[in-house]
Amino acid sequence: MSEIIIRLAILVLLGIIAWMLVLVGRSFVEKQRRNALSAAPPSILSESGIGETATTSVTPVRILAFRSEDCHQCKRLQAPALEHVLEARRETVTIMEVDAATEHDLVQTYRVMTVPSTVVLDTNGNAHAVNYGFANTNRLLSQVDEILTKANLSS
Amino acid sequence: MDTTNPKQVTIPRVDANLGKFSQGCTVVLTALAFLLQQPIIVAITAIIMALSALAPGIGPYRLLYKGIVVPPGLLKPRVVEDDPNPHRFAQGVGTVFLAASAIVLFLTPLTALGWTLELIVFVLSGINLTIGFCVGCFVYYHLGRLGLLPRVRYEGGFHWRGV
Repeated sequence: MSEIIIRLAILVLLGIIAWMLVLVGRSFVEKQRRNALSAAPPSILSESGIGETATTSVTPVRILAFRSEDCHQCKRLQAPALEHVLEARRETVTIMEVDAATEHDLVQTYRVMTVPSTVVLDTNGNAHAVNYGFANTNRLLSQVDEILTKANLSS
Repeated sequence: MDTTNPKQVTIPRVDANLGKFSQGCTVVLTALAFLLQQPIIVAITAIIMALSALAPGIGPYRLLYKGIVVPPGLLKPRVVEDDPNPHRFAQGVGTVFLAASAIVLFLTPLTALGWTLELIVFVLSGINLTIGFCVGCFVYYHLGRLGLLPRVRYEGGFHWRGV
């Protein structure tokens, strides 16, 4: 009986250690996200040449989609999700694809640690949401809608 | 990406609750095996995970989920956009660890090593269940980047729910 209790204690201890490691990791990611959200819009965003979808007029919402050449998840999951967002909010959203391997300033500004990552920018170019890892269609749509609601309220 | 005329695209989907159910079962089975010091449970769990990885359609977790858990509404399918391949790879990694653990426990006196291998699966399944961080998917992603997995199979990535 006492052996089972010792083994149970080992399991609980392992669980606690794993949880603590996870909490440390999450707090690190949250810190990166906070820094990214408070970053000033980089001047490079106002220049043409970033992404493949630079348009002449600025839409209320812009999404920076960080990707890399060897990121198949970007192509298989993130790109279709972004296309669904475009289909649903066509007039209000622009997708700007960013090559994480070459756009060091943007990677640094938004603390991008993995691809795919997406940064949802409001009309002024301020980061409204930062998603590290794959962000699905619903998540992106809700982030876009938050910006649009705010913009409608203030106008 | 063309913003003016987006073509119809499909996104791979997985049932997130089936994944959670599978991880929960693995946590329970590995914990029970360790608590009761029963290598046979480790071997059974290895076989179950191998079936789930190699033939998802007949995986025991899926059959239990579809046959017993979903009909009375204990869990409802929650289909989300995600790639199933990294998750299958992760189950394959779990299978390897559990099979190695069972072999060590049955055939050698190295019980500490055997249970350590088994507890690794317990911890990683627990993290995936509670936090949504799939370590196997993370490994899959990096193996693909290093060119150690065929490019066509390298479609997974970093999954950490809530990040």
